[in-house]
Amino acid sequence: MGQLQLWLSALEMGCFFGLLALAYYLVLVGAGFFNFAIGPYAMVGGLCTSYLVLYEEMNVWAAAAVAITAAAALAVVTELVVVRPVQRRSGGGELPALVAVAAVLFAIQQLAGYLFGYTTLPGQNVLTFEPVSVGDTVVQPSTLVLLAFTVVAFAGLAVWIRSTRTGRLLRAVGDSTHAARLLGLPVNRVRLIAFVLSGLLAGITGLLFAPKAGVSSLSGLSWALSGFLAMVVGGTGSVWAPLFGGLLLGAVEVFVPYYFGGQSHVYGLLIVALLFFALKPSGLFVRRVRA
Amino acid sequence: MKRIPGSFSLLGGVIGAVLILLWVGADGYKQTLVTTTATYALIALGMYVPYLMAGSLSMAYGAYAGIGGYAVGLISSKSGLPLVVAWIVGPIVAAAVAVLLGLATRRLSGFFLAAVTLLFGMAFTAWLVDAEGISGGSAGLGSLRKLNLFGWQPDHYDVVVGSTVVVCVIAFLLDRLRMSPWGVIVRTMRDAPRAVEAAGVRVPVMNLVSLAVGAAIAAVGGGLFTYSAGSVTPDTFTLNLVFLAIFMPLIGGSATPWGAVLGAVIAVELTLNFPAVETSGTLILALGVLVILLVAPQGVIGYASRLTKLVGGRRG
Amino acid sequence: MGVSTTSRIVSCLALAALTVAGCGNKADEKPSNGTASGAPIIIGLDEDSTGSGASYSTIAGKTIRLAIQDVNDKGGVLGRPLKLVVENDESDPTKVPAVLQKLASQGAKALFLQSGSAAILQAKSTLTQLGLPAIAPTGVTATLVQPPDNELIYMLANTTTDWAQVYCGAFKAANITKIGVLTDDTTTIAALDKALLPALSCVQIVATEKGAANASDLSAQVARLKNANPDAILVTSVGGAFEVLAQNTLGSQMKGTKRFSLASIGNQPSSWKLAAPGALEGLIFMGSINTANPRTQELVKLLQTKYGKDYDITAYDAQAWDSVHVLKQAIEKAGGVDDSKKLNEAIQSIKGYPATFGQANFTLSFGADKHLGADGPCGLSLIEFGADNKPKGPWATFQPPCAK
Repeated sequence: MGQLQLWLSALEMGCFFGLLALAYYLVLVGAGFFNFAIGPYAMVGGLCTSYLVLYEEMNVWAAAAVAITAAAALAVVTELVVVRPVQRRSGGGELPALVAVAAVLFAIQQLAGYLFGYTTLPGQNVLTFEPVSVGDTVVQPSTLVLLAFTVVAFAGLAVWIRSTRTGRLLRAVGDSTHAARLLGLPVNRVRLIAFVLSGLLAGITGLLFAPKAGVSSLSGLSWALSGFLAMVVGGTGSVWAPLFGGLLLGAVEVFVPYYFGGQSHVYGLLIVALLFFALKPSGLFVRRVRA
Repeated sequence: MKRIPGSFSLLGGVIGAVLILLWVGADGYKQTLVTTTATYALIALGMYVPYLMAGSLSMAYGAYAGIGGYAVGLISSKSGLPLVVAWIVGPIVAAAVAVLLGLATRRLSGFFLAAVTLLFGMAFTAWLVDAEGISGGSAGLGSLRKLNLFGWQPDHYDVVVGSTVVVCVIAFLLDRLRMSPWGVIVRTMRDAPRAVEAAGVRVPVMNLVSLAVGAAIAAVGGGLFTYSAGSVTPDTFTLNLVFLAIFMPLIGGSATPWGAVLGAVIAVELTLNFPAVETSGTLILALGVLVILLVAPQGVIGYASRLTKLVGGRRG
Repeated sequence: MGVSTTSRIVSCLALAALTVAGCGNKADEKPSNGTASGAPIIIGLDEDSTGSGASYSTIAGKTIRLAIQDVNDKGGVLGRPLKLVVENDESDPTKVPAVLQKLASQGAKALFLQSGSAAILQAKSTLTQLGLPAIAPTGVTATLVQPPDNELIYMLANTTTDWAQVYCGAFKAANITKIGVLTDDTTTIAALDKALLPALSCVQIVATEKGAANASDLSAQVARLKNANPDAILVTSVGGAFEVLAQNTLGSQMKGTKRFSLASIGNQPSSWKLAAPGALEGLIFMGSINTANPRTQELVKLLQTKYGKDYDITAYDAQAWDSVHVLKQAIEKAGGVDDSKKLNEAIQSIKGYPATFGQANFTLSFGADKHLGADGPCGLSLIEFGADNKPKGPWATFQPPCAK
């Protein structure tokens, strides 16, 4: 009975968290940096699309294209204008970049509210077809699209990282920026590619997830946290690790309140974070052998 | 030329405070602006020790300020003790919580620490709502008693003066602390923890102490706000405030604690007292912080002191 | 990529900030003096226009402006125009004292509080310090007008005590004996649940489930509710995304179980679009708009000439409208606004004000111990949603009795 529905929900949430975690993964691997602004990029992807469709009466696909471009552009601005100068100035220190990215998160959130309004807007479906029945539960088209995109995104990136020059460079640069620079590798270009890809990915993810519960300018922060947790749980051992972390976190989000009720999800998240960060800060999957 | 370190900044701070108090006068609105600024400044000063000296960003400051606020509310409504006790109990409890949280997160830094402490702040708010019997639940605690110091009942203006004095004293003490041997060790720990550890200093203990000091200062701020506003609720100290408190030292200048105070003044001015932007003061602030981060990383005080050095013709 | 590029981009950012600052006031069209002359009477509005409460507080804020414009066009109050001063607290309780003080320093003699409920709760003690009376036009949390510090704050609409009566009548009429409750985790709703749920002694509450207000998934909570096997579900939330997600999930997982909700979903037309097609069908909410009320009809006419034929009137509009007119009556009774104590007493002396919401004979009265205007449950009516996710009309099974 209801159990199937719960597994479906866990799967959907898991894919969403996993995609956000993948966007984190790209920037982490390519630039050695946790980009908390991933959540706001996703929010812009969803909110901007809905705004353009509802208030400017744009076609969904055109609106989606604009929104995803905007998300990617924000990622580029984050890298070029904020992260790179701040990191260059602060040397290896992590804190200045963290504060800078907090400021970016805050600014995008406020700016989006100013531009698109402070109300929650309904997500837009890029594809509409009849809901599919599985057992006694119904799967919405938006869920199916999200699941399909998850498979495509992970498989595509896995292939890209393994078999293209840029993909391999991404790892090389992330492993040791210093060495890569000495070897004359195009460090800045690779970092930028990582940011653009993560912006695109986050934008599409936000757009595809928005139909589930709507999107508002304040959605970004909690999405950023969920994606970060999923990434940490999964680790960086493989491209698929973020997906695994996401699915695990999705299951926690669904089954903890199912078995414990009340506000257990708030306490549950804190406990998961504490346990993982304390015991396995590098995540479940760690690369043991360097290629 | 021998003088007490930090006295120059203190002089600046005191002159600023006196000017502000003269400007305020008997105007209720301006008085409230000052108490709000003092609250923000104390929370930012609380963050100063672990965040800018020890280099670890904790985002649980909404909870610490809340503990200070609830201490005032609880002592007022559930005990017969003098209200001043709240400013002793509150900071101690906040420091204890900070130490416990610090122990649980002792292996974390940077992004990991920020994420966990953020979640802790959210869980704390949820707990305040749940713990009806202690915290008054969602309605919070109100109708506070008046402060009574040995028979003297300070009026609103006295509270305003008092809060400015407290901010100045704490900023001065932190400035001294920063330049003391302890402060030097803590700051070195931020940049080169292994070297400090090798020199025989227990880095984790130092970290815990800095977290406890910071939490205690924030609790003083929370108590001050609760007293001057007259009530406290689970939502009183929001995440927004924590973000603002991270940005304040950057705006003012992160080299000295006075920067946090100046940053608080600017933040309150922008979000509450700036006539042109009544709809989006926070947005201006957020964009402003980005601009400052990029073109003026030393903040306002950094630039001012560079200017004085240039004029004075000596290097510090 | 040199320093010059960076500084160029930075100056662009700064320019963007300035542009935003320049047009920051665009939404704020202030009512003009109309045909009234004489020294303006200044009224303060604490409105959250950019924070977490902005999605609902601006709906009523807009109608407050409209009502003031209308009053001024019709000659003002005592021949003097009402002048509105507006400040924004972003639903941040630490900003509330300063915002209220600022309104007072601009000469405001009475206040409208239109913000998140945590912020309004924080406002109570500041009001006592200021000595200014205030109306929370859309407040429904009973704790707002209860001690402490309630001498100067007023609300219009029925609160949870009346709601419990109406729900109980409805549950009885529909043969419902066991209900499940789905609630969000905001402090606003926690306060409301605390008053409402114990008062629902007519039914057995078999399960109470809580979800995060910004939750993306509620299937676990709904599954738990389903396991408890209730006859009906009551959703208590501030509305918005949580409410719609709850209704979407309930609609697909507990099809056929009767659903009830509070007032918020009915007052937020923008939320209806969030719902999956048909997801709101059959949902019954605590409405206050009754189109048989002649005053409601007049307001609808006015709103539609201003905002177009498709405008959906909500209780927020009507309550904002009435707040302005209650205040107008009080000022007239007090003969001015210079004595705030007298003005406060004048508000308390208003009896039998015919309201713009509720049924045709519904009135508002205030008193020293009655800070809640609604006289009896006639201000409420249970409204059912139709298949098009819009309120379709009064629920046929039960309506609150209105014997007057």
